[in-house]
Amino acid sequence: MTKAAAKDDPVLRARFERDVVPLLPSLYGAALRLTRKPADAEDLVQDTYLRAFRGFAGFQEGTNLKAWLYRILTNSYINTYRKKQREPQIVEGPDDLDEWYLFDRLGGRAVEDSAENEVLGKIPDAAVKRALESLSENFRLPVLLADVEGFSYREIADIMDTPIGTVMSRLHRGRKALEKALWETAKERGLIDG
Amino acid sequence: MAKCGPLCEETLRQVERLIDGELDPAVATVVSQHLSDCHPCMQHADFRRHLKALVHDKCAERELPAGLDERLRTLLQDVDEEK
Repeated sequence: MTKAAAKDDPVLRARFERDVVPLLPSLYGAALRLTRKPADAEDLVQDTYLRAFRGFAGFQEGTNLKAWLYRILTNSYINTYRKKQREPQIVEGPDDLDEWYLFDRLGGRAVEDSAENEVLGKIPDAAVKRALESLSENFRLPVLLADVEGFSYREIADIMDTPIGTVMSRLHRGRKALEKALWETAKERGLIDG
Repeated sequence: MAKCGPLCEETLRQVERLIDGELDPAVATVVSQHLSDCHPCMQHADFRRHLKALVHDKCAERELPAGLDERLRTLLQDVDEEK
């Protein structure tokens, strides 16, 4: 039996609006971090919303709606916007960075226990966003999904259609790259003495 | 990196997954126990926890741009008109 599409089924449509609309701000945030341009992010969210609406009859109620939507968003981004941006895909990552890159640097200057956390807290939101956006996409996406959106490794693997081991290694390397970017940002802003 | 012993090294290797909530519960118990016994390791773990929370708080968007909100509202009506 084929289920009616959301556009022809008032119950399905009501459920779509009730469940999907509250997730749109976080989808927009992810779209913005991925495309790095508000206009492209809006188009990507619109595209995702429309694809989700058209495919909603195929979504199994009670399963993970947020992950389902992020999978649509990610695929849509990869198929459309990435081609448009022609960003060179850098697979290489900062393997050579110290395991505790940022802690060691901030901690080395810290007088009190929490001094390193204080320095980070002073970096403006926009600069942290830029730091995340500076990562190459292979690393940005898992960090975004894990740390901003709170997805589990398994969910990220499903969203990115990648083995879980790859997710873990990219996440690890992505976080190191982010630490380096935050360190550079803190230095540029004069938040680090000497 | 704290250099107190093999237990510290192993703990620090597991901290990322502990904070992500991805450790097997039995392993998580051992790691958490070491953290509460070892101040330098705890400082490392706290730092990573704080960093994760900071990225979460500072990179999230909480609202849709007004124009997009409006566009999405009318979008479904346009779909309705497709026959």
